[in-house]
Amino acid sequence: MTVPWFFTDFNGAIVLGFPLWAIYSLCMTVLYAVIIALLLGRYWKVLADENDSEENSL
Amino acid sequence: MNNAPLLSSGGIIFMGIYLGSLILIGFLGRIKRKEDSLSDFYLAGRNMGFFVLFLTLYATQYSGNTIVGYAGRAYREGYTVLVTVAFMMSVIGGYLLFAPKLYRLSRKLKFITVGDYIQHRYNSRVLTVIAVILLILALGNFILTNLKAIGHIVEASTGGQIPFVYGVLALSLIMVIYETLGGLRSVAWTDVIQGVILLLGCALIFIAIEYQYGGLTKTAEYFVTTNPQTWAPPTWEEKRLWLSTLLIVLFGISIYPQAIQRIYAAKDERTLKRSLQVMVFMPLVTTFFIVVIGIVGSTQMPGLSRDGSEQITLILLSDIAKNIPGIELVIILFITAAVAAIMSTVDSALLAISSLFTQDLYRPLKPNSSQHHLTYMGKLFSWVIMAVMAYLAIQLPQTIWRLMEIKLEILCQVAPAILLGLNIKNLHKRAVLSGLIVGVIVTFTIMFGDWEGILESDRPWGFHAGLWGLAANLATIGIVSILLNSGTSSRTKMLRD
Repeated sequence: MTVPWFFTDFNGAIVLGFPLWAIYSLCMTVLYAVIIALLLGRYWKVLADENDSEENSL
Repeated sequence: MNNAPLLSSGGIIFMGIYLGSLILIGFLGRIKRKEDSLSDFYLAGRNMGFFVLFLTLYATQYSGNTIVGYAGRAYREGYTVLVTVAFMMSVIGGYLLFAPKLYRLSRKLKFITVGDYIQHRYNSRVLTVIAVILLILALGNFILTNLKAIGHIVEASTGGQIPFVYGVLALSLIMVIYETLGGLRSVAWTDVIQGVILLLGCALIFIAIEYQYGGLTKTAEYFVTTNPQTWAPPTWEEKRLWLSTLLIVLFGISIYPQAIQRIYAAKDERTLKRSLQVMVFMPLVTTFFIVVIGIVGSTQMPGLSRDGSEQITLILLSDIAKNIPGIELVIILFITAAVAAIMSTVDSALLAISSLFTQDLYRPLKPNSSQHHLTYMGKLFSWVIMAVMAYLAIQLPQTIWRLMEIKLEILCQVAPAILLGLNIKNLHKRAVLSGLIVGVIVTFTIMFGDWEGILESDRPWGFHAGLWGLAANLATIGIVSILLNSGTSSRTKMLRD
């Protein structure tokens, strides 16, 4: 989602010194960080417990 | 090289104090050791708190390339280098896939290395040894290229008064001394200093450059009138390469053995979780700052060669020094930050290789060895490995930079053994071993095969060779698993009948 897939041309828009596609990418990058931080916070225990493969038979 | 030194005599004294403090920390780490065991030496007694864990993860993840290489790349390529911010974050997404489970298992089963997990999960010496050798190869060339970089920085900083060879030898010696004195405890404590210097360095340089040159808004005005093509979004080929880079970093860097060592070393789950939660935001105050510096530099100092662009941060700082008295301190901080970033990467990789040698290769050959003997051997391996690496860094030509590129491509091939092993039940060792072998063969064939007239580059369709290898690796795991399962089902049916 951080890749600016939908931007094919520079349309002249500048936001905070960045072209629009770069701002899009930065915003998505920050969103990614927030999501990962939330997932780490809320689902750590679930991720640690789920399908504990330690007892797997091989 | 006998150019003007980048560091004044005051700067060289500051650098000397910094390097001396690392040895002192090595001694402190030795004094604080709890017992003479591998767990204490390689994992700091599994008791690392938030502050140290976070900073050691941070300093280890960001190498010298972050503050020297990325600025140069941003100078040359412009806004597309923002991908580096995203890919440094993607690493934490990789941890999310395996760290919670692996940490819990490591506590329960007293793992020391990533090889311990692979051996426990698959019970296959062949698979463990191949995976460990691949990890050692990847980390080895990482050390080699970073030692070369540090030698060049020392030579440039002192205007050739300390030649490249002495720079490599002196810093290698310092690193191996503090590492073998206190193991991970010393390395992590030095990482605290190195991490703080790195963070401060990036922030101060960013502020100085924003203040002096007016930051990105002024840069934008300049680009619009003089260099409008800089604003163009990436082409489709570049977008695919962007995605490829994100994926290869996610699977490659997240399974760095030195990072996994730190996961094992966390005091508790909460400490590890919090450290990763903060880590995910660090590219915004490190990589992003550096990329902006490179972009601003391209408007202020246009026309630099490739080598010149790699020094853009120093060139800007020297320019600012003419107008702002006292900025020399920031130059000293920058050079120290570059050295610190490289040292924290090399010492961690060295400790990780030493642990892989001792725990995964040597210990199975001498199963009755005492903890004291194993720790002694670990230290001995560190000295031998560092001596070999320093020798190679001095002797091998500059073209070995090519080796750096294969690091992540190799690491990617080991990732399924860890990620799938932790998340998929009934994954057979033969499937994982076959996948690993096929993945490595495909990667190396694409990278080093003679494909003239067939492939346009070693990144077919914009994707790294390591990702094609990873795809072949996963496909092989899938096919072999299906074959093994159908074979098992047939035998079960025959027995039932």
